[in-house]
Amino acid sequence: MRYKNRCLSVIIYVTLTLSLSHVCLAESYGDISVVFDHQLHERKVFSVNKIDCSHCHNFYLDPATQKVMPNAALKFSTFNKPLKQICHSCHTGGQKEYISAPHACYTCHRRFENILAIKPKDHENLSWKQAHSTAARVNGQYCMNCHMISQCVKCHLRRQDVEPMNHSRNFRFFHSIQVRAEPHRCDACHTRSFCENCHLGN
Amino acid sequence: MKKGDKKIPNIVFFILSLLFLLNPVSAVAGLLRFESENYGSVKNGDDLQMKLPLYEYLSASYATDDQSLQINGNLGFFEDVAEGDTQFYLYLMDASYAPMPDLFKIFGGRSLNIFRSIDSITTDTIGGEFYLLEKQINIGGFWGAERELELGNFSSQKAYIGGAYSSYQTSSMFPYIFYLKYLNRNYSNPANPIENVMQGGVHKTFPGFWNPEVFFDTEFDIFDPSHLKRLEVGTDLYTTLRSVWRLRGLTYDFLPTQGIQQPIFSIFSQGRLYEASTQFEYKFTENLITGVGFSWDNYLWQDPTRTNGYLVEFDTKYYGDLLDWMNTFFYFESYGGDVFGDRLHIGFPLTDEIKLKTKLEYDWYDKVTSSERFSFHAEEGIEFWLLEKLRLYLGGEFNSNNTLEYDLRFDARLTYVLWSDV
Repeated sequence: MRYKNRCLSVIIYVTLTLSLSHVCLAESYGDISVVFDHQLHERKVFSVNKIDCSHCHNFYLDPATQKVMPNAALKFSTFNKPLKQICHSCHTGGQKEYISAPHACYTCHRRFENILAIKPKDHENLSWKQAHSTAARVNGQYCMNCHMISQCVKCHLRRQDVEPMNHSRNFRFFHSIQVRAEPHRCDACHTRSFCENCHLGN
Repeated sequence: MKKGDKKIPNIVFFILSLLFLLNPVSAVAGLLRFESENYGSVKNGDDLQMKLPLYEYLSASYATDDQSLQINGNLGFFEDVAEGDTQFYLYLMDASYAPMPDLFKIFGGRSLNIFRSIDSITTDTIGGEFYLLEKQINIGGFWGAERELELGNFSSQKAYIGGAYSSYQTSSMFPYIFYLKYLNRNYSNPANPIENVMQGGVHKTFPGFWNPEVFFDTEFDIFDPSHLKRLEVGTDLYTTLRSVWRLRGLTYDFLPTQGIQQPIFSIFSQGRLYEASTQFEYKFTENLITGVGFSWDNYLWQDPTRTNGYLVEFDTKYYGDLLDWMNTFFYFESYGGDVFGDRLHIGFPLTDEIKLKTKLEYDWYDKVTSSERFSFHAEEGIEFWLLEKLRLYLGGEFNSNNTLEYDLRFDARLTYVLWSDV
């Protein structure tokens, strides 16, 4: 059995190495204007909601001649509003007619650095680690705009004692005091068997 | 097939899935998030024998651009090189596919999923989800099993589950958000009662004076509403542009008969817990945040005696180009004793790719079961970014306390994070 497990470990490492070398070659782009699919929007959004060019741009389509006509502001910018405002007017919810537009932040913010840059302010709160559970239960769909389930798994189910993620190194020495102060907190990640592994010598 | 052999098909399934994810022919345009964390350490164990623990955690998630296909896989294993002990303790794999993205999707697999589970437990489920009123309403149903996965404990006990969930969001800049979840648990051990758990909650932000964000969240047995497992109410008040004042109230009770979860709560409490907490946070600048918090817990220790727990915390956080710094002073008190501690974490970037990290942790504690003690942890490490995506941390630790006088460790952590179009 031990031999099989070691073989599996080797297989996983080899697969990982091959996979990484493969995906490193994948093309990556971070510019939002590259992500924006104009044809897709023309087909699914502009024609359905009767949105014309002037909704976003400093030019319009003349209905009589079907020619593109410039506004005075075109010499300054092709867009009549900041890009962020244009995209977010449909993709962040709020308006009923656009509520089915994809809300996932990574729809446009493709790179990891870009996602980090738009991290909501409440995530910086000092109590966010304690407060996020209620937020996730009540409005979990919002979390999924940026996060993937694997990030829940990483803290709640992963076990390792080299560098505990949610406890300090010294926690082991005074956990008996803390658990008696707020005994319900441990249930978020652990069950009784976790205690029994050490205290009952399992 | 032996009990342990069941692990092998799961591992093979995971590897095949990884290959599928990384195959450009079968995978359509989408976003791949891949993460590998490898932790290794050389340390003295409690028996002062040398230990060489090695942990690996892999996760791969893939979502197409329209989110019609989503796949997620996680694998964790542990090996002690010195003792030759190997354990696979985490293997999750689930997928969802929306044939009609604006109308419904189907899903299945093993996962920890906030929509399909109650509490942090692994579930094996299949199900579907429907959307109505331009996705303002979603309704889902699932069926499967819950099982407990702890390191070194592949429990054979499980609970069959079936349930439904729904959420509704009004269309407004400050919407009402409602959610409701029902779960039926039927344990493989017939000695356990059948449970019918209902969860529900609402969240709303009110514009205007102090912009209060209000929430209500509850969980109870639908056929025994007198037994309320959890009820939590709270509000965040934005008193100024720089400050927030949080108020929370909670009542909690988790019966020891409730299944394979076997809550830790039931070891210490024989009945209902009440908690009140508050925190005031102030941002001096965008980079400097301070906060002070207090919480009080009261629960049934041994009928009819109730006991209290207290926590006071003072935090500061600073993020700057030259330094990031985090410090927490805390004080706990319970019938188990009291503890005063300090956590100081400092990060000092040498270059864009190299960062020095320091951790200092002091704790003074007085347990009812022993004499006064002091524990100390000091860690110094250096973190390198290699090839943009690969992060290597090498560190050394010194730990000291009364039971384990000296513990010197050397830690290595290798992290690979990929967030890329495929």
